[in-house]
Amino acid sequence: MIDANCPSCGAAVHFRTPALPVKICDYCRTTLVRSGDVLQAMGKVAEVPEDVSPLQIGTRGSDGGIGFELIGRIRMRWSGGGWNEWLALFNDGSTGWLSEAMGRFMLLRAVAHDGLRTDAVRRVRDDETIPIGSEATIDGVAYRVNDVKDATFVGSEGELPFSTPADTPIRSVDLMAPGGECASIQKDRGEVSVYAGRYVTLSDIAASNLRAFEGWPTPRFAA
Amino acid sequence: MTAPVSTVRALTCPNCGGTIALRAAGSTISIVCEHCGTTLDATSPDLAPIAQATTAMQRPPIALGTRGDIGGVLWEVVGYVERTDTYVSWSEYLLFNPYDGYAFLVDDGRRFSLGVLLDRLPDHTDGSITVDGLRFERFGSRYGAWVTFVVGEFYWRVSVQEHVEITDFVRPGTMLSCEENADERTWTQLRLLDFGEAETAFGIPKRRKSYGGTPAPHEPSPYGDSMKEALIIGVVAAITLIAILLMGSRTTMLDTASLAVPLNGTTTTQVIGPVDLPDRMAGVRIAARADRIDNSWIDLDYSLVNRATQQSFDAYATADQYHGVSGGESWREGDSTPNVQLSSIPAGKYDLVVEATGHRWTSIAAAAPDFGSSDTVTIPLTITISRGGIFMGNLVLALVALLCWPVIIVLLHGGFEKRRRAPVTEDDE
Amino acid sequence: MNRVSILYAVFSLGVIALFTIAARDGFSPFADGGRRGIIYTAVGPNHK
Repeated sequence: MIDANCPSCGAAVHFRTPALPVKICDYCRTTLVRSGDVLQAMGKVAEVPEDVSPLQIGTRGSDGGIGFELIGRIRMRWSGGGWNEWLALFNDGSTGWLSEAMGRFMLLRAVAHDGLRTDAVRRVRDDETIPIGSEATIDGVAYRVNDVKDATFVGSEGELPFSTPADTPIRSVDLMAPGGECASIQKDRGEVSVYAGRYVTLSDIAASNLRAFEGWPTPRFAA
Repeated sequence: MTAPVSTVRALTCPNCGGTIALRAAGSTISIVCEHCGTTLDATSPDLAPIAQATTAMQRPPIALGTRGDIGGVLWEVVGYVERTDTYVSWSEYLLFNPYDGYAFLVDDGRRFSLGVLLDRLPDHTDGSITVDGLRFERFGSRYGAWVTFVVGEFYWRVSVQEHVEITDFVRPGTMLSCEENADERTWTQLRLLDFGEAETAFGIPKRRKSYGGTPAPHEPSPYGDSMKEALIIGVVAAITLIAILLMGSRTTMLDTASLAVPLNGTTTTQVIGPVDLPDRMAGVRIAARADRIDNSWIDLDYSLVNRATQQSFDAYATADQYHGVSGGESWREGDSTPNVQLSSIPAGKYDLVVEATGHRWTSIAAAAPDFGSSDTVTIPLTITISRGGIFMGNLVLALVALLCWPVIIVLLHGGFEKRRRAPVTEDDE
Repeated sequence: MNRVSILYAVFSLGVIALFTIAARDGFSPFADGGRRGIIYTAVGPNHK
């Protein structure tokens, strides 16, 4: 845990983990990048638009027996709508993503893909078209491509592993498997990342500290 | 912890100025104004209009914003579409819960189903698919569907005339619907709701429960369970009946006698007995044999007389046999070993009085007998009297009575399934 | 077991019972003679 002051507005800034270099200042919305002991201001990001997501910074959950807390969020947008990517910090120091779209959640972890020879990853890397339904094997699971989106960042908050300048072109490919597993291949500023995980419900991850909504009873698992 | 916020935001339609509600901010990308029907882009900050209304506005049977509890989850109606495949029309309500996401309430006019998007890919095996170990059979063929009316908010860009190709797969109570267009393919799992479940949840009048008309593709037969039970009970009962038949079909021969019956119209009388019927009541069989009878008949009058009470039980039989040639074909008919069965004869000692009258059968085409007309043929006749045995007529009657109900319910079930599987034509509702 | 099936099971027991009684007494509505209850073809003194 590191405390510092925002170089832009002077407000107190708090880093929960040394592993994540980026923090969006809660007050002035400047992207702060930490390299060593130096904090650099790198431009402002837009505020995340108001929505009725049940998740919030501070929501806790558990996966495979290891607890996590949501510490950051990126709002993404594409021609067909938008979705949230929530950064989850696990108790063992590792991170994952809780991707929220159309009321459904995917819990994903980064997968080392240097050794992956699967065609889909190569196509993303080389900016080639990827047909819907094409097969891909990641970490021993056979997936099929579900959709391909050209997206960009809309706004962000909290702590993040990378910066999120507006209008950055992102290529995002979602894949699905028969056993409920899902995967995501993303290309951002020349770098390809592969994530794999599964669809979860808030009940599956025993989510707690969810947002409260007027007139909506809190679900049993979060009570 | 921040104070609870409302999920509903009031917006103003830029086209008509009416107030509309945004209930799923962040996921909704299209709102169709409920007042003027204009489609608005929810991703643009000023709700830019995308399309004008092409059909007259109507209020959905379940109003937007209505909340209802189905299966323990509270849902709010946020959108409504009507679709058609040119033969039938149906409507779908988009339901939203901030913690549970989205669901579809599908109304086919008769039954309601609750649908959710599948989060796993089904396994294909020729005509059927398997999800989570459950097998779904394809129902009908692929068909196209169009949106005819839309109001409310959606997480996809919905529009009237939006076209998809649908393939349905069913198992009792659940349907898997595969919808695809050029860009994507989605799988929805629909659970058939009980009669009245959706109406009670959303406060609309309950529909009359009926099994007539056209059942939903995934509607389980209401007769299925009863039919299985009826068949099991019926088969067990029939087997029991046959077991009783086999156990009780012993017959005990009591007495037998032979008499010579002349075929000249005179009556020969013989008394056979005494025979003893020890049981309180018994069935009695009288069997006659006239093997050598040919082109003649013997009338048999039986009287079973109780020695003590002189009560007489009568019966009648005919032993006959005829043959000839007609039109080049030879024919034969008759019964030379007739049986007679008497029922419920009380206990006691009995005599059987047999009166046999033999006749020759003469026809115009009959060949002249070899012997002179003064000679009369005599046929040996053997009479055997026994007690016990089971009447086959009883067994048939009992089996028919037993199988009445299984037959009825098999027909009811068959009729239901036939209507359920019938391809839809324009004549249907 | 629903109500209809239970009724049918009771009915079947009744049919089996009637069949067994008929078998024991040698009774049948299909007989050619004897004491059949409906068609009684006995002549002669019928009382003790």
